[in-house]
Amino acid sequence: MKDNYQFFFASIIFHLVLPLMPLIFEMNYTGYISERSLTMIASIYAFTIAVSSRNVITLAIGIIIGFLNAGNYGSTIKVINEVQTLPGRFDFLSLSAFWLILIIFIIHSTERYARHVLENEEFVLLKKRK
Amino acid sequence: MENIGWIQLASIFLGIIALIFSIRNLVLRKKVNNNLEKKILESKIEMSIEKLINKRNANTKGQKRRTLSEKEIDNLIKKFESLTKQLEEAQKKHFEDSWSIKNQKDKINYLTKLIDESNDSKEFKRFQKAD
Repeated sequence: MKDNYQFFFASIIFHLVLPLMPLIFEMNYTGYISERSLTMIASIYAFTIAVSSRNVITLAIGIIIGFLNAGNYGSTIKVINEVQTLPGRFDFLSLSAFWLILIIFIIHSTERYARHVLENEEFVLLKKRK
Repeated sequence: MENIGWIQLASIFLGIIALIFSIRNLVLRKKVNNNLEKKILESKIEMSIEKLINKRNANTKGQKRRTLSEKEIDNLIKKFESLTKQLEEAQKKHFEDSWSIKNQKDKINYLTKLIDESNDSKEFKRFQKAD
């Protein structure tokens, strides 16, 4: 059972945390995360997590969310260009992209928990030699 | 951004739907796991069990694993046969999906857990200890 939790946490780190590293570095270097970065990451995050999921509903909805956020990203860039302002700080809680990333994180965590902890599935990157 | 508020709302709405479904799946899967004995498939799985046990018995060089007797294997297979009759279609499908992606070690772990949870007979306890 111990191994199961190791696989679970490893999958969380590799699949869910590492893809968010660009945001962490942006925060580190600029002191804030721009709205357009977060929107773009939300779109890519939704697409990639949807494709790696084995749940059909997550796949379908993840792809739709990815497309919607791609549109949202384009619109964000357009507004920035029209107003001629640099993307500024934003209030985390008021932006949908932040909530979407959080929701997708939870969705995929539950799936990974079921796969690795409940069903003893090994995580490919940590697969032991037989 | 005001003109695209509906996109954000739609995204959040869809995300919440997906979240509800994923939590529902998790709860259901947990429930099914508590009734693992109901999820054994018919002939396909029984053949897999037999193959697994044979493979397992072949790997006894370190003396850690005890070879199962023919009688024990027969009993094991019979036990699984009787359990398959309780399966519902949805459970069969779920089990088939999760079974097909497991490797040999995981299949043995899975069966061992199943036996652990569902059986009190001495023969199956011995099988469990041998793992």
